[in-house]
Amino acid sequence: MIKDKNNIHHDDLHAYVDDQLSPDDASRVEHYLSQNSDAASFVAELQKQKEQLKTLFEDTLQEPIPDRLSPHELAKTIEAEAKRSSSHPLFNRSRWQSIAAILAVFLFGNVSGWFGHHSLIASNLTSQKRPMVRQALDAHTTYAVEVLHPVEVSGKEEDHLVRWLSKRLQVPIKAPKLQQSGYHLVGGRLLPRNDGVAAQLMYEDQTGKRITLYLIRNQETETSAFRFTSEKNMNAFYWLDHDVSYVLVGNITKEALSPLAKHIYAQMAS
Amino acid sequence: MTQLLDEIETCIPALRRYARALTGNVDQADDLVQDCLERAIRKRHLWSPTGTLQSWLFTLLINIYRNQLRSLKDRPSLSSIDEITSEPSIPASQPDQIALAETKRALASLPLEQREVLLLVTIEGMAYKEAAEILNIPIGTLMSRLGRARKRLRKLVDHEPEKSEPTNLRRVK
Repeated sequence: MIKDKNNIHHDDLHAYVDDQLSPDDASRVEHYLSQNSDAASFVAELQKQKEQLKTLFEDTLQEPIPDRLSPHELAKTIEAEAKRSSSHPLFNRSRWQSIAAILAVFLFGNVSGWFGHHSLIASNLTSQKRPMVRQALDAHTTYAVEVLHPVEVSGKEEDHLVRWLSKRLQVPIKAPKLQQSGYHLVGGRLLPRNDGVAAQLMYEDQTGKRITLYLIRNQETETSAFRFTSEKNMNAFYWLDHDVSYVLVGNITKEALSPLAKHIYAQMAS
Repeated sequence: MTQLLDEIETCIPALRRYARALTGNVDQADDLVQDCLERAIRKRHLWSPTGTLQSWLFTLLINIYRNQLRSLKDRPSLSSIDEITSEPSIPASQPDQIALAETKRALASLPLEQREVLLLVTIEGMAYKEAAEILNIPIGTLMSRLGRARKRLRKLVDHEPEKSEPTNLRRVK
């Protein structure tokens, strides 16, 4: 509402543009605008700006809501998590859960009962990940176990590998150095994506443990915080850093993976 | 519970639109909305039906985003999201589209505190009072941020160094 009944202030013009005024106050502003062309053109400009902002994002409202944002699905997942950790502490780890599920199938055939219920929930969790992370986890699952051909180009030809992947991704990338953390570069490969290509770099430690770094080019320059996700016995950190998005995946603990993610981030930024 | 989930669902399109305008990125926006919904469902006992459900969800979403940006700031050598100006994604062929692309780019360059106010008021069409409550700021602060946001947006879109606003608002008889 208009506070000062004798004057029209700047705030009143904003309030007029934003439909915040009572009909009486609105007509007082309109009367004022009819006599003051400066203020009238100012208001017209704010109105235009507001229309542009609305136009820019109005399409979002018509888009179908992806499954991962369905409140009902999310609630199921959350409830299942709570149930699992309260009533079945032993089966907290998904690895135990899968072993138990396999045993149950062996022992009781079709009588899978609540095990079946839980595996359904696991697949819900999976479908809720963002596409980039989904692809990175799948690529890790496929290639980290590969003995004969884990990579297309060996880490011994690092220069060639980096040049090739940079060219195909159309953005300069680097292969981060992780020797200090005990990991050496096995090599890398190019992967198809629905809207372009992705690169996967693979690292291995002395004991043969492998981690993979999945890289794609960002459509727009942007950055994000580190985000964490896990699935089965895999943990992953992902982040966006200017031109490139990264997903670091490993079958190692979150605590072990986290310093590697930060180490990679620091090297890529420099 | 089912009813609450249904009600939450009706708020999602607006939350997605706001998140997209706020972050300037489709995937990041949906991540933010997902975080918001998960928190809302986990903390649903904290929601008091005195305010609208939509306001509460916007409050959660904004707080999550503010925290994410804060943790981003703790990381060295990374420019804040406010400093990044992305290229327009709209093909700049017609004058209207050029103006839209410029507005989008200018929006991304606003400080977060101005962007969050401007978008609640313009795109979501919220009452000043409701927006101030969501952002947890006094209404006077909201007004000054809104004024600065609009001024900066005009300046950036028009390429004019300093566009004057009507300063001599005269007495209304």
